[in-house]
Amino acid sequence: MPTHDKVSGELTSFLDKAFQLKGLREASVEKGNDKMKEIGVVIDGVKVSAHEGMTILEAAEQSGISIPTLCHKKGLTPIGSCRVCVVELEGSGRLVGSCHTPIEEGMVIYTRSPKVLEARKMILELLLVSHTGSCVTDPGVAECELHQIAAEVEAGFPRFPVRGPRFYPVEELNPYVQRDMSKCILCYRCIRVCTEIAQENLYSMAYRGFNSKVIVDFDEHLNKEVCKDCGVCVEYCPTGALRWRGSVRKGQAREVSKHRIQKALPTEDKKREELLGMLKDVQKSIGFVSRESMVEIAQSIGLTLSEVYGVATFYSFISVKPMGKHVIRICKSVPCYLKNAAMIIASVEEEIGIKPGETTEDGMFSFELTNCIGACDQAPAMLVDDEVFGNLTPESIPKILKSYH
Amino acid sequence: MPEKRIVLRNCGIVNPRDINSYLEKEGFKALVKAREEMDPEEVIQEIKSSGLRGRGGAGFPCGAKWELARKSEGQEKYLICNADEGEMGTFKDRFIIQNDPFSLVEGIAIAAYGIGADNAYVYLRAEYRFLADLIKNAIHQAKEKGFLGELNIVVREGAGSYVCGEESALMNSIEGRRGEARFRPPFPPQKGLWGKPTVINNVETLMNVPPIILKGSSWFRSIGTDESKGTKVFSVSGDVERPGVYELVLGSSLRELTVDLAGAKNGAALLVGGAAGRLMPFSIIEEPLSFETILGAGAVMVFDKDRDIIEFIYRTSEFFAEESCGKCTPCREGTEVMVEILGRLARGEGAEADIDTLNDLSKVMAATSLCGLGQGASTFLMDALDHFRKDFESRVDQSLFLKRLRVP
Ligand SMILES: Cc1cc2nc3c(=O)[nH]c(=O)nc-3n(C[C@H](O)[C@H](O)[C@H](O)COP(=O)(O)O)c2cc1C
Ligand code: FES
Repeated sequence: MPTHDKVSGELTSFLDKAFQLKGLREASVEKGNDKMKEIGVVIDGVKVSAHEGMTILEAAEQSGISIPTLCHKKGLTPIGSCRVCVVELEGSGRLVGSCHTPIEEGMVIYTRSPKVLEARKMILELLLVSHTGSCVTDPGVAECELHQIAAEVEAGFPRFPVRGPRFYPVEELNPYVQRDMSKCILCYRCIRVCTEIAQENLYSMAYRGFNSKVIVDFDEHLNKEVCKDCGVCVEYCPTGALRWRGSVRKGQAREVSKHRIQKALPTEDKKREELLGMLKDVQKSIGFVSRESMVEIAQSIGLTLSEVYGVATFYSFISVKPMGKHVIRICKSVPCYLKNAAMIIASVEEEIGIKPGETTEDGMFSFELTNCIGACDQAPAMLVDDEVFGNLTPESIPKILKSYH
Repeated sequence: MPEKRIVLRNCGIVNPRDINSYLEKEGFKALVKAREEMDPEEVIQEIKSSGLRGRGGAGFPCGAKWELARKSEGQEKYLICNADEGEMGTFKDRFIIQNDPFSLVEGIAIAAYGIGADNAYVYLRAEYRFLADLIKNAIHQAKEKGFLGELNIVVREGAGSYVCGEESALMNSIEGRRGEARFRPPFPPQKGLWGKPTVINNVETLMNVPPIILKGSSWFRSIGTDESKGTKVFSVSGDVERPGVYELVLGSSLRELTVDLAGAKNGAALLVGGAAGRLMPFSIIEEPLSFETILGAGAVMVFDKDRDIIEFIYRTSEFFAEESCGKCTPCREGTEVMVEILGRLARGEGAEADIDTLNDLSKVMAATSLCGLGQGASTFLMDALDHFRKDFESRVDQSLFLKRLRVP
């Protein structure tokens, strides 16, 4: 079955339960005891009771069953990204994240089944692959939650290499906080703590997929202009990616500036809905989104620079580097590949003298390879700006490109 | 079973820029009927009893989704038409919009009426920017003629990201965020766009709505199989003589589609449902195309016998890695590991142990990924290992043989 069906199956069973629950809740409202309904569940073979509104993780912890977590930490909004906390739910083919899944009446949960243990182990291995840097000789390693959990789930040396681990220079511009992003495991904790607790909203995720990186401003080294000294992020970082500078160890910091902490959260503003459109408009008019334009956009809708940069770098049709007047995007996905896209790529290279990823010296063309553009019935196909050209042959390329001069 | 035009009934017949030509073909009659003769609950009931299921890949019952959103608390509700169509090898929604944008607008309006949404979005992929004017024009003309009433339909353009077709990433994108997936529950019909109840439907799903309202659910239910009612629009590409869009009654066989209609001659493998679909040997072509068997979003790619299947599997893994949003570990790191290993296997540098590692990896990705992208990547990988394991093994043997030759 297509995998989407699994999600849909989950939704179906969820719907059944939701309607049931709704009935239950309506019944209990009638009896006037809507608050904190008691829920009975079975965790690892033991019957336990929990309250409506709790997550599986909370219910387990309350009963003395511990589940390892990495991206989740008390006090932060769950994000469910690391998948270390997964548990098995009877009747569900997939594993569910315990840090964010609400507990429901009658759930039968296994926190240490073979399937769960195997998954956790693999996930730790996956995290360790690209967690580079001088960990082994590092005095901070004892504090590294990643290594602690790896030991706990008995994850050994990763079974697989990656093509190029994420590796970045250590950032030492800030007098208090040192960032070593090679050790970052992309758990989003610093992003959330800086937003939800410090209320500075300094960090953001940028780029996408394996290239994702937690950035400051336009992906710059953390400096003292942007980051003051509150340092809550250091205390929340599970690895050595964020540390105090000098000899201060995690947990030993002087009182962090508590005055910043626990203010009310800013209310979400619908204005940011405009963001993508604004970025695209700038892209269209000057061929890329410049720093100045991002500053302007950030100010006009009340976002931080890093947030704007994080969104801009997620999307492949937005570029933060100058591009040519026209952008050629040749589809390299399988349907076009089968129809000799490689020859078309070669003809374009020959015609304008550049390789994919480059821009011609006269600034006329940028050349990129892209994934399926939905013109597979006319494969091989390409986009020049917004226009589709299909059924391409090496002979047709010079004519098409000349028409843009 | 035959070709049958329900979704594509107006394609090539109406002028996609002129509402009058659509009105001549019973255009907006269904919307008027829904508004004047049915209350929203009846509209939902009609869609429920028609058996219409989502055409965007997951096949979720359309009426049930609408009902959940309608019953969810809150006045403010949203409808989103998913026109992101990023699934590799899919181009049917493009064809639909190019030829009959008015039916889509009508379907959106009926759905919004059923759900109780005053605001609707069409999320259009950046690659289809050339279609934006066509849709906006259709919305504008429908508004001018007074068909849309208070309903506000906004076209929102993507910016180049496959995962933004995934419902939760799509909502993040509309909200002006990175297109990252969200965990579920809550599901969109409970808490979706801006935390409000939201229904997300594929273009083709909504195209089915006007005919169902006009002709009745029992008419629709009489077409197709037990679990799969109506027709499906397929996008056929790859090694076929006549690539293109075909609409068939659900339950028609893969043979009818790929061999009889599209002209596949020498097939060895099929990818049904796009990259996140199923990779199968060509021997399955007698199977019916339906939700019970194999379907996805209806992309069918054919590979001839002389194709290098491992090269193709490797390329598809690159697709997943490049399009992963990067939020959850199994997908972000797992797709990268897939590419590394498959790349080595394709180049003849792999080992037997690599195949086992891929097997373990795909199981964990399937069980733990946050959204359908990581899950789809793992299904694809599992299929590749299940059905083409021999090709992998002989590639490993070859490379061992070559290595031995190299030793002096
Ligand atoms: C990675 C990924 C990409 C998807 N892309 C699309 C898409 O481009 N168009 C679409 O309609 N559904 C897409 N879906 C499915 C949507 O999440 C959702 O199920 C669908 O839009 C619901 O509409 P339906 O019920 O009418 O099918 C995608 C799912 C995943 C996991
Ligand atoms: S701790 Fe739950 S997903 Fe990371």
